[in-house]
Amino acid sequence: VAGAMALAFLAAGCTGPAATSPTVPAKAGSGFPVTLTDDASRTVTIKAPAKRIVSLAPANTEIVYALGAFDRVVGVTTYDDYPAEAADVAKMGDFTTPNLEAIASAKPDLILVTGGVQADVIGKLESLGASVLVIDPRNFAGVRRGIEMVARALGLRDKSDQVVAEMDARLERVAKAVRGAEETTCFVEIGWNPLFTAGRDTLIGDLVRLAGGRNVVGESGYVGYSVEQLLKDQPRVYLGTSASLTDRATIAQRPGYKRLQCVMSGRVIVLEDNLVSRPGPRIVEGLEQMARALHPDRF
Amino acid sequence: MGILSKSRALVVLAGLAAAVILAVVAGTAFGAVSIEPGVVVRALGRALRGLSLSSDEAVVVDLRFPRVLLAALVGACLAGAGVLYQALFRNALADPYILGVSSGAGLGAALALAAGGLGAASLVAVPVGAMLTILLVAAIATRRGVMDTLSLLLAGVAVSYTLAALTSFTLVVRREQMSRIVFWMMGGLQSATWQQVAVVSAMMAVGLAAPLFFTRELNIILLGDERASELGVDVERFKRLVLVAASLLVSAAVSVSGLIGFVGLMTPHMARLILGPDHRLLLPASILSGAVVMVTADLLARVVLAPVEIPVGIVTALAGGPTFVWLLMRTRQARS
Repeated sequence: VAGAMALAFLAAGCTGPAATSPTVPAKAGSGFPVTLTDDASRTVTIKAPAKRIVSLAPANTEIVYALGAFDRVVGVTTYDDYPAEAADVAKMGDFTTPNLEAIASAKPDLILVTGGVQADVIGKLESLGASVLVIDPRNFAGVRRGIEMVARALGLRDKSDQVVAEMDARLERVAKAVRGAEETTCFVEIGWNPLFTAGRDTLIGDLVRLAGGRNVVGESGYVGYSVEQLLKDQPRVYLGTSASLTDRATIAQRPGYKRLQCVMSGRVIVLEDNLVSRPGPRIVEGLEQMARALHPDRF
Repeated sequence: MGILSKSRALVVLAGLAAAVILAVVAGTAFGAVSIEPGVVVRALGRALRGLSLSSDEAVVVDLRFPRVLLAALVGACLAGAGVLYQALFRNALADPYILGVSSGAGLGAALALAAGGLGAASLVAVPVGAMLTILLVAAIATRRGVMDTLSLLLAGVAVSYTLAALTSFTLVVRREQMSRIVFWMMGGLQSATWQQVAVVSAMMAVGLAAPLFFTRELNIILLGDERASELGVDVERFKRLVLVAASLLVSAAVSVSGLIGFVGLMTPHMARLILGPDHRLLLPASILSGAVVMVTADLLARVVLAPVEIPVGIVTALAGGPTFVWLLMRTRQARS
C-alpha cells in the first residue's frame, strides 16, 4: 500500500498541472498528502491531487467547475444542470439514490457528497477505494470553506483564493448597498401545500441576514409553518424559491393569503432555486437576487 | 355475531356524534395563534351575515373552520372506505390504499403538476386518476363476470407498482416539479378551502349512501360468496357497488389531503374492537370515529410545535399506533 501511495504521489507530481511551472511544484508537492476535516467532522487524508472526481450534488459540480477543473469530473447526478457541459458527463444516479455500480465503474479517486440523505452511503462509497468528502455548509462562510476544502483536495489552492476573493468582493458590495437600511422583514417559502420555510441555521436563512433582511421565522432548520402565524407576522416581503412558487399570480387565491399585506401590495418575489439553495460559488448570485428583492431602492 | 341492541347502537352513535362536534369546536377554537373564544364565535356570526372580518376573524373563517370541516370529512371518508374494503376482502389488513388508489392519485397529481399546476387541475386529475386505477384493477380481476377478491388484491399491487413507477418517471422527466409533488405526497389539510369542503361533502354523500343502506348485506358477504348468494345477495353486483363506493370515498379524501396513512386502516379496527363486527353499527361508528381522529390529529399537528406544523400523517401514525396496541392488549385481557 505504501508503494502504491508513493507511486500515486510521484505520478501526481509529474503529471499534475503544477508540473508545468517551475515555481509551483514545491508548493503543490508540500501540500500532499493533505488532511481535511469535512462537514461531517470526518478526517480525510488525500494522498494526491484528485484526478477522477465523482460529484453527487450539483453544488459540488459547480465548485469543481469554478476551480477550473471540470475536465476531471467523471460523474455527476441527474440533477446537474450547471455548467451546461454537465449534461455530457456520465450520470451516477440521482441526488437521493446514488448508483453504486455506476460510481464504481467511473473509477473515481475522489467522491464529493452532501449531507442528509447521502450520509448512509458514505461507508459504501469509501469501500470503492476513493476518498469521500462531505460538503454540507449551513451558511455563506461554510460555502467558502467548502470551496477551499475541494480546492485543497484537487491541489488548486491558488485558484480557490481567486474564487473566494471574488465571492467576498461581491458579498462586500451587497453589504455596502444595504448598510444603514432598515432590516426588511421577510418570509421564505420553499414548499407549498404544506407550507415549508427555511428558518435559522439554514443557508437561505443566512442569505436573508446578509441581504439586510430579518426572517420572521425564528425556528431552526427547514420547517412546516402555520399560515395563521404568517398572517400575524405580516412580513414586508414574501420570497419563494422557484421550485415552490412557480405561479406568483395565483398566490392570493391560497386560503388566508389575501390577508397578507405583502401579497396585496405585490411584494412577492421568486428567487431562482439553483442560486439560493445550492451551496456553491453561485450562492453569491443568489445573495444578490435576495438583496435586490429586499432592498430594491438600494440597487 | 351478537344481537345488536338498537338502543345501545343509538347511544353509541349519539356519543360519537357529540365527540365529532366537540372535536370540531376544539379544532376551531385552538390553533397556532391564540384567539379568544368570543372572537371565534363572533367571526362565524359575522361571516354568516356576510360582514367584513378583522384579521383574527379571518383566521377563523378562512383558515381554521374550513380546515377542521375538511379534516372531519377526510377522516370519515378514509375510515368508511377502510370498513368497506375490509369487508370486501374479508381481510383485516385491507386499507383504503390497497387497490393502488394512492398510486393512481399520485400519478394524477404528478401529471397535473407536469402539465402546469396543482390548483384546480388536481381537484379533477387526482380523483380521476384514483377512480381509473380502481376500474382498471377491477377489470383485470374480473373474469366471466366474476370478480375474484384474491385477483383483485394482486392486481391492485401490480397496478400500484406500475403507476408508482410512472409517477417517478414523470418526476425524472419534469425534475423541476419534483419538490412540489414530494410535498403534495406528504399530505395535509393546510390548503383547505370552502370549495374543497363542498366537493368532498358531495362525494362523501354519494359514496356513503348505498353502503349505509346495505349494512346487512355487508354482514352477509363476510360469510363467504356462496353462503351470501344462498341468502339472496347478488354477490357480484354487491361487490362492485362496495368497490365503487369505497373508491369514491378514498378518491375524495386523497384529492384534498394527499396520502394520509393509518386513519383508514386503524379506525375501523378500533371501532370493531370496542363495538364488535356488526356493520349496522360498525360502519356509521367508524365514519364518525374517523372524523374525530382526523380532526384531533390535525389539531395536534397545528399546535404541538406551533408555529411549526407537523405533517398530519406523522401525528396519525405516532398517536394511533400505540393507542391501537393498547386497545388490542386490553381487549385480549378482557376476553381471557
